[in-house]
Amino acid sequence: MSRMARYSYLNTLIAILAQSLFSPRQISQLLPQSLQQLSETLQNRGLANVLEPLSQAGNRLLPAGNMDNLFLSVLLNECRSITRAVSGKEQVFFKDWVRRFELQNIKTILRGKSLNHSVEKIRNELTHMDSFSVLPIDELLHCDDINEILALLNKTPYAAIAGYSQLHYEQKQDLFSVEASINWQYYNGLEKKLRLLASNDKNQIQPLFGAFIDQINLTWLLRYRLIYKLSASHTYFLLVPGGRYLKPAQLMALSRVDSLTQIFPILPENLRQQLRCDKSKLQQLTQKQSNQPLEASTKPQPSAEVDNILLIEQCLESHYLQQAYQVLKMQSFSLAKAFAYLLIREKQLFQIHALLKGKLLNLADAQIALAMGEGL
Amino acid sequence: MSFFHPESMHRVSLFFRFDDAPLLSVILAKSGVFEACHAEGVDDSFPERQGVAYRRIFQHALSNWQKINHFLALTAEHSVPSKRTISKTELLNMDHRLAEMWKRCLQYREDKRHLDKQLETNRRLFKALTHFHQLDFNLSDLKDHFVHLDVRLGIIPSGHLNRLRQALSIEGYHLSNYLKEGEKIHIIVAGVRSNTDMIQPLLESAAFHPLAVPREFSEHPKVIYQHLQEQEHELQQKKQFLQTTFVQLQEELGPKIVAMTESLLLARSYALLSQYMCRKGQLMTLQGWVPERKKQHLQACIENGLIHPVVIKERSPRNDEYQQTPSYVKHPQWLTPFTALVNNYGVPGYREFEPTWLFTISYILMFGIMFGDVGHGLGIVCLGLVLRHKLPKFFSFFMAIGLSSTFFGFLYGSIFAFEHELPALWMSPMHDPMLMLVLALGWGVSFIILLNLLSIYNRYRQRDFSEAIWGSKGICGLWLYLSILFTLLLLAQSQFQTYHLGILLLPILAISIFKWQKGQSIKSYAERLLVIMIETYEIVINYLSHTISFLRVAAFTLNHSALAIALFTLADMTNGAGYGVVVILGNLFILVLEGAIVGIQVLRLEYYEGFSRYFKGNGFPFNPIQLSAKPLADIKK
Repeated sequence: MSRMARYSYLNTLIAILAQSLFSPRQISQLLPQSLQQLSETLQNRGLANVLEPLSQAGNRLLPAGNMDNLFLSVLLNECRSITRAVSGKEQVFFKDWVRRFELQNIKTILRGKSLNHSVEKIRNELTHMDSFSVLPIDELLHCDDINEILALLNKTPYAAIAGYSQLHYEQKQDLFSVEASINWQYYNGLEKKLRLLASNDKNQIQPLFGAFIDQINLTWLLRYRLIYKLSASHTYFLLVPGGRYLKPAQLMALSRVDSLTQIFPILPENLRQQLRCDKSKLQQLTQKQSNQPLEASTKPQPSAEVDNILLIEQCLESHYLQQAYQVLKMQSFSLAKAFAYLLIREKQLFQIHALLKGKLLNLADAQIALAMGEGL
Repeated sequence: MSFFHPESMHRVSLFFRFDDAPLLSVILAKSGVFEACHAEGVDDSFPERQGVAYRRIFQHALSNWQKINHFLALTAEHSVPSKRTISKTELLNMDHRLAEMWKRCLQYREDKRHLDKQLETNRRLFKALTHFHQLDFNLSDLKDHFVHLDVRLGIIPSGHLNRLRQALSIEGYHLSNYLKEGEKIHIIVAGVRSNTDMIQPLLESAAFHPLAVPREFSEHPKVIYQHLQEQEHELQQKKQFLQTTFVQLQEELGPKIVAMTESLLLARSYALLSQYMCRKGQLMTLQGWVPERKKQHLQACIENGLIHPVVIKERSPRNDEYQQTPSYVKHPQWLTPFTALVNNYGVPGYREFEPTWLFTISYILMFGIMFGDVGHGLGIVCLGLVLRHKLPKFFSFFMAIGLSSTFFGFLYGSIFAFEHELPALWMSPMHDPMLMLVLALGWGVSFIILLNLLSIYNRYRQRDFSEAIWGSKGICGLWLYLSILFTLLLLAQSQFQTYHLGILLLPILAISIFKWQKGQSIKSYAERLLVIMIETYEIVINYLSHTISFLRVAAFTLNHSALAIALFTLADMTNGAGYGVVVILGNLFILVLEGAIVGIQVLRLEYYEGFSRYFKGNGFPFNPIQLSAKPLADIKK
């Protein structure tokens, strides 16, 4: 079956869904709008379901969990439509992609249990996965300890992830290694599922997926090395394969860095370019936040490092989103188009979430822009 | 009690003393006729909420009870509890005891897991030993503490191999793998001792499981082998000991768990109902639903069970409450399989026609018509008899469709696909296929008209008068359907004149105007017009397609005869030798395959052509709190 015949429904669906996307310029233009104007604009972008509870609450800030779930439900509904439009390995890939959010639930339960939070408190912090949910939430919430949770997870589709995490927990008894292991296992598994796709599909998604993985790898790498002070080898081990520009050799070299400034000579040219392009904005934003320019920091303080890593994360995010916009515009009848749509939609929902939250809290536009990752 | 709609329900409000709440909960649960609902209109007068701590303790206790029950595989049934209350202190004690018991179970589980791990390690060592022997490897070297060299032996998940090798190379370490077992891989790691601290966390992250090298590993392989065998023997003994411990746990904790079941059941009634209770000072209120004819029973239970007076107020559900009113439907036992099929589509709403009887009669009838054969019908009856112990709920289903098939088999004169051996009481379908098609069409038309009438009835009962009159499934819809039929009749008799179009257009116009009024949320006139045109076109097409869909009733009747002809043609081709075998296998094929297909096709007609026309199924079943209806093990936390 030709690609056109195979993905005609998916292509039409993405074309329709893409109408609810904003261009990067339109997103910036949302910032000065009042809540009233925002409501009208967002109404036409498939976000009526989000606005309704807000207006019912008298445009007051909803509890954090409710707000997150409202936005996530929009994304999940669209993911559901997309997974229905594909089948077999392609469907498995997209479903696994959506599970990123459920992974967060596992971590929330693990953290909640380790901090002895009540069942209700943990439940309120959970993300509603609707039909994508495969976790026995009730049973997990009533587990007595981490071991019991991991043992129970062994009976779910997360068995592979839980199995390794259990080994880590037994050896180290700390949650960091469990969470790092969960992340590592998940992205490894996702990359394997990508490799199982038909070669055409795989080749089309790979560059975008790789750019996404590059962002994850570089962010983790900097956090593990500079914040958690892990050894170079340990840091390298916790990174995931499948990056586009950051190949194992570069990752090995990057794992040895001791400060942010050392990463620039090692980075591949295009990533370096990307960070340089954003450098002036980066410096401005950094100065706004910590009064400490990126290159001036010879031995960065942890808080400044955190800020800078966040900014680098945002730079790389905007880098892969630029590619996603290109894919969405240029490609037709391909899985990559759907993947690009999901990446952009997720980011835009996050931005609108931040925007609404900021407006409801009467924050200054500059602060909201920073939270939205605008200006990069 | 009505067969055709859910029982009449009453909403009751109970006002009682605060200290009577636990006992009242037990009484309500014991009565088995009360379903609590959130109280309305009392937020200001009864602002306090009750039992939060009690519920939390109960849920924790229940969770542990269920875990222990599952863990120890206890199957003992509990008795119906007596009428007593469980205080918070008693519940807390029970929770503590259950927590202790669960701790013991967890301890056992951990011991068993460690033992299994040791057994697995031993097994691996057996394998590793063979491997070392072949390599002529000096194992004592592994135990030597070199001044500058750090050597480790262990197991990692095979997926980590390449990554770990690359990561270790950063610290100047070398990794070598020597044995693969499924998802695990045995490795030796060697490097400069000064970097030991750096690689320890890395190895832990890579789930590196160090292999303890027994002292015998520096000896002759035969001695090592003997040592491992001794170790295996020791571990097996431990395993036996653990098995005995498990039986002891079962014997010790089992009766205690069963004894606690009654208390938990009693506590459950207050834990469940307290979340609906509202309080002000010493006075509490609780609201819920009760079937109208069980009102007296509930009142008697409360009055006999409580010393202090309880004020009971009751009323019929208001018009705006129908969506929240539970549906209580009770059918004879033999209708259970048919009720399950109806509920699979949806539970009838409180003010909705209850379709189980109509579904049952039409299903049995259509199955018989489409699969009429005395032999096959009796075959289904026999199947029902054989499976009556394994599938007791479906016994009546097999009996009903089997007997219906037998009855129509006599009418068609068909037995085991032989069409001429049994004199037909009416005629074989193949004798006049056109008549069969006309009759099927007639059945479809009558069925759709009946369903439309039911749809009007439903909307009338739900006080949705505009839909009942003007809707596409209301009077106007029925008018449209009859107009379509009349037009088709005129066309068939070549008597159609242009002015007859008016008959068709009038109901279409009425429905369109109604839809125009309803669709005012669509601001653009052009868009609204387009939507109405498409929807009206769809209504006409639906009526036509649903009617034609009933032709499958005749088609399957003819199909049965056609399959019989094909079967005997095949049997004749065997020239007598395999005639019997072909006929027997062919009959089995028809019975299983055609029987299943007809069953599904009838269900399809019922669901898509039937239910979609009049049955919303958006109700929810009456689910009164009960003391012993459901084992605690099945209760969701």
